[in-house]
Amino acid sequence: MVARPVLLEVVHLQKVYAQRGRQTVAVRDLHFRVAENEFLAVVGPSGCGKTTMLRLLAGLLPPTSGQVLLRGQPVTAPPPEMVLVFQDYGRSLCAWRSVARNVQFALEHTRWSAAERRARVDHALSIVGLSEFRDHYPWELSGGMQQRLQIARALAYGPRILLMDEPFGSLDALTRADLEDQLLDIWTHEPKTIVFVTHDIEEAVYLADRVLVLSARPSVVVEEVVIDLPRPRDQIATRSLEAFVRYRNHIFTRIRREVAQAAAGALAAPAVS
Amino acid sequence: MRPTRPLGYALIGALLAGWEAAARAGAVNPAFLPPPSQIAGAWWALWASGQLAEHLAATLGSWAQGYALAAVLGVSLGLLMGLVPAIRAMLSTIVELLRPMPSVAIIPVAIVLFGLGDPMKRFVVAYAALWPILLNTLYGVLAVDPLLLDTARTFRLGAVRSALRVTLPAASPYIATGLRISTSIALILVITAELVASRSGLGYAVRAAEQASRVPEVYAGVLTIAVVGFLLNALFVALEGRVLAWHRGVTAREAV
Repeated sequence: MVARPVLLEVVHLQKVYAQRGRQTVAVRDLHFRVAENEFLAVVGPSGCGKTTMLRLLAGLLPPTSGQVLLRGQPVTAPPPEMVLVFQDYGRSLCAWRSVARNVQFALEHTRWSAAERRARVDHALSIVGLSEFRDHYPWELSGGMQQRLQIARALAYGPRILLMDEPFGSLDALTRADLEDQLLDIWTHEPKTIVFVTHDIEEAVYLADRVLVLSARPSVVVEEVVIDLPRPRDQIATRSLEAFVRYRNHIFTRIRREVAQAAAGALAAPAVS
Repeated sequence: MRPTRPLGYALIGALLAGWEAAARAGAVNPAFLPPPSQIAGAWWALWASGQLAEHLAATLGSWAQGYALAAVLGVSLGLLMGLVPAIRAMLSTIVELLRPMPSVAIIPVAIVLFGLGDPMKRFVVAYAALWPILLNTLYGVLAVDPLLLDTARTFRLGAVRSALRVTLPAASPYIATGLRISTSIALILVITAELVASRSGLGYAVRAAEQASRVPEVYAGVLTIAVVGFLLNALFVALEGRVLAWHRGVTAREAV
């Protein structure tokens, strides 16, 4: 792999929630880098603090210690070149706005001219194939279309970095495959850095340049797997490659061990939480 | 609801016919319960003289001005209380103390403060209509999905834009509920204020007719008030249906 300049640096990131006197460590010590235009996938056992990690990266949540550096600058608020795409598209879209106006939502307060905004809305909608539905309302669309709308809204904003929190997690298998390919297509044509959190190991291997494996909560990076599979990827050809299966099995085994260890740890020290 | 409408109208027609017959046959004392035809005549006389229109305008004027003031104040204060915990903590005690008081009890205070004219009526209406709007706005703001607010933050909307473009529209179904409840409360209060202490408006007209023992006019006035209430509500429902069409769509979807 060609060495690309580092865009995002996560430095010993920790997040501890204090609730009614009890402390819960959601993220123990995350330390990794993301290169310019890299597609990074993050997998881990469920409840491993993936969402907390993304919210920390997005500047929506202040870390307890450590920091997120974007081009060397600490992230203390949502940076203009970064957008978080949520898993729950239904709750993230404005039900009172039409499809086109939902995309426009991301642009109304920007410096772009009205004409430029319109062009960006049209372009973003055409990328995700929603141009014909511009006057529909989100609740008139299927789940997959709603998630495409959320992605279009993020794209129109023109971020350098897309943070995606299990974006296809609640979609059926066919829709999901379809959206995975659309996302790769977008990423190929308009390169950007993507941090893609998922619980689906095959999805991570299929999409990413590199997969980070997190431990069970409190999360640390337990392994980093560079995915050396040819691009463009193909739902059938890529997933049939021996190397694909090897990556998948390797990560699967690793996560299983994490879950087992976490369970054993919980048994050994039930008071720790 | 729809299919029962003709039946409902038929029943009203039958009741009126029965009333008319009973009054004419002397089964009820027409001095207290004049036949509908006589009431209609009194109504027409009031209308033709222009008095009814004048009273109607006075009532609707006070209603609209007080209601508008309550809407502006209620939505702004509700939004502020919902968004700023410090303001909520500060105002919620006052709200909890004032809200349970029956709003008609404010009328004597209003008379002391404003006398018997229109400003008194406006104040009474605004006071009573404020609470449902304020509280529903507050609940609506508190019920806004945090994910929607995170969405606004990731797109760097800023606090004011987020309040106006996310919180306010997301809370609008609640706000509409408050506004709808207050349309009828405002009417109740304006009529009450006119009944007990005023020289204009439909409530005053009814009281004046009653004191002068013009019984058919009493009924004509009450009937007019009923129709006004019905029309104001219908107007509001029509407006709400237009503005909140999206919300009906969402809830219809959720019900499936």
